[in-house]
Amino acid sequence: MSTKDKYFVIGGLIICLVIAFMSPFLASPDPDGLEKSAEDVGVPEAEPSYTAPFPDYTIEGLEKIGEIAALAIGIIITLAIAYLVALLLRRRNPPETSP
Amino acid sequence: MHIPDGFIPLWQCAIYYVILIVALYFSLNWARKNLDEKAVPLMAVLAAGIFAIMSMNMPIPFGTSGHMVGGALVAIVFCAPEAAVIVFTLVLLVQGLFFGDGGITALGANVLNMGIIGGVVGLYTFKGLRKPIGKYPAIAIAAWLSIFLAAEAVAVEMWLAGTFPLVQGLAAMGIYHAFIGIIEAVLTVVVILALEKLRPDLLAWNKNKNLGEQKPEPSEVAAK
Repeated sequence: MSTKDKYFVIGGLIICLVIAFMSPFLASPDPDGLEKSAEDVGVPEAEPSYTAPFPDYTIEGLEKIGEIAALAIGIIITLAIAYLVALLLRRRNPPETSP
Repeated sequence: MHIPDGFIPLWQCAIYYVILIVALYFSLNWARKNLDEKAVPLMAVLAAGIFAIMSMNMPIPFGTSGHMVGGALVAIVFCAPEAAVIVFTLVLLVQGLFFGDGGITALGANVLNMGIIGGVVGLYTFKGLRKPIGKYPAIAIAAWLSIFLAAEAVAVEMWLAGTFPLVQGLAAMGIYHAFIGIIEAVLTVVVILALEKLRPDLLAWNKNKNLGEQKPEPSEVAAK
């Protein structure tokens, strides 16, 4: 990875973490468009059949700190997985010379 | 617009999974031919950024909130909806598995709406409008339309699932997402403006432009 790309990844990660620090305080707690539409037409909230380790981006027992940490964990997991997957999928250089 | 588990009957979820597998087949082929080394950090940062921005729900009228999705953004940056399919499959998997946001059974439908429909509508609206109205207005309209049509697709899926009545569902999803689309339009333009300013080499349209010219090798640039 070139220095420019390293700065790009670090810069991107910093922006993401800033969002993770802000959104537990700033994000609107109102239902999103789909949840509100479900309320409008009278669909009961579905019982989750699967329990995620950090449901709704929270860590049990920790308030805002838990939300920030859950988001930060998610950001790092997503960055790492997407980096690895892209690395595996990418075009090999030099391109294979197939006839 | 993450569809949770329980909103779509399982046999219909299976159909959306088949669509996802077909889309992934084409997207992996695209990546093998077109995703170069330099695009790896870009794809990683876009995925992390989309994960992060989806936590930032902003208020819209009617006691509702919405966040940027980013399907149009990824498709426009890479000039390929296939890139959006890959990014959204990964982001939605992480969100569903670790955070219970978006159902695991609904993963196929969620990638269809946000990645495939969002990416295809975003990219081709942009391509169609770029010449007549200019690059950034085209990006804004493409991003808005990508959210609006993805939301209406959700309404149709909810109707097929027997969860929402058709007209009420289309009206509710349409009205809320017409506002959420404004958030999408503004943030998509901001991110692409920032990329154009800081790393224009990462945008696919600048790469295609360079193909015609003699591109200096990095070593030559360093030698100057």
